[in-house]
Amino acid sequence: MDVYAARLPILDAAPAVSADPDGELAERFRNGDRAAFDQIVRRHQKGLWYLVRRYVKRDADASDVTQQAFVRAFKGLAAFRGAATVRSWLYRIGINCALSWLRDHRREEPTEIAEDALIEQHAAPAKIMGGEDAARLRAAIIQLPPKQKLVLELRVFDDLSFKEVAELAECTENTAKVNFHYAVKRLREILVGGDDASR
Amino acid sequence: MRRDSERGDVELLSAYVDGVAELSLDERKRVDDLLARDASLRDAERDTRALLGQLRDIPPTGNEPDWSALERSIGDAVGADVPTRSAFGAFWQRVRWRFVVPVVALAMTAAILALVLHDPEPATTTPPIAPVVHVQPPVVEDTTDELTASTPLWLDGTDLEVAIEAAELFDLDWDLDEESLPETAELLPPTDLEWIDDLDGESLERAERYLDGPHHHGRKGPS
Repeated sequence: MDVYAARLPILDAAPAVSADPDGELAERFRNGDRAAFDQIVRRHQKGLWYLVRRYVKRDADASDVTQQAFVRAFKGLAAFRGAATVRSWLYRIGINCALSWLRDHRREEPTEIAEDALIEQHAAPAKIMGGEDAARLRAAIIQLPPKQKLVLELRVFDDLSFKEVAELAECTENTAKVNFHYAVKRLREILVGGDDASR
Repeated sequence: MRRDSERGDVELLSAYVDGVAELSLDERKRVDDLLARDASLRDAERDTRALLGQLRDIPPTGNEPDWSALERSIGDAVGADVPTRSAFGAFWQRVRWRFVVPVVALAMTAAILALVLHDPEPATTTPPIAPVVHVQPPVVEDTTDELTASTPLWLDGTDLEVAIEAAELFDLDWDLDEESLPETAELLPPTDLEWIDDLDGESLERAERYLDGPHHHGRKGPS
């Protein structure tokens, strides 16, 4: 039943991290305080939704998967021992739910939709960056190797610490830093080289 | 060409640019030193800083939903009851590996020992089987009506039915020509009767008297 929580042995194996800002809420929840979970939802639903949205490409699907992830978290939080931060644990559940959703809907969602979504994103008025630049950057990010892409997105778009990135990417903190470096370097090459670099 | 240690420091450059506080003091110092003496690396630092700024300026994907509605839907989906783990559940989660690993190791050791020490043919104590001696009676001419088909002999503590008329043996009239003996005669080699040669005269007389007497058809031989 609780397959997503069960996929997190690494995150759930060591003693508690004292610096987790959600650690107290998790403890209150374990002691039966239902309101503590509502607070966790308010804190993280936005970040989790955007994380999931990068995978599922449709707003409504992102909401469904986000809800599913929180339901899983609700069931597993009593067993969560605080080896990772609540946020990275929650994000891991979100990624697992999104991947599971993609597997289940593989035939319903052809790959072109991802491209459509990309166009739709940069077609929307960007307050900070021109749509064309944003699309170019997104297209470059898509070309990164999966691990580098994951590390870069978690760091840049989700504002996770390298420690949290490492927990989610299932690698050491140093490996996460090195992957981040090569992701940035590769991105620069792709942007400078244009189409040639992408080959 | 950079040395391996320098390359390791260069690999920390992006992390240095994006979150210097997340590097250890030693890592920070090494990257600082590298930047101080390498102009191309300083250019890379500037480019990295600019690129990360651009990436962070990308508008987020999708149109964000009604957060209050999403929160309510999550609240409805999870229900009101906080799931609690039983005391045993919490205990088992904490100690399960401490049990599972030694138990599996013990079971494997036992299985290996059983395989190594197992004797496929269990030792059974069977009494030694006494050899069966079949002795064919030698073919002799029936010269006397008193001759019988067999005569009991006591050889080396074993009661044997020897098909030779003992009286003839002691009379020594019988010519033991090897050619005239049947092949089976060698089952009772002549050396087995050497004890007769060791008998003293008195014993021989007693034996003869015994054989001449009416009791010589009994089972037991001369003692």
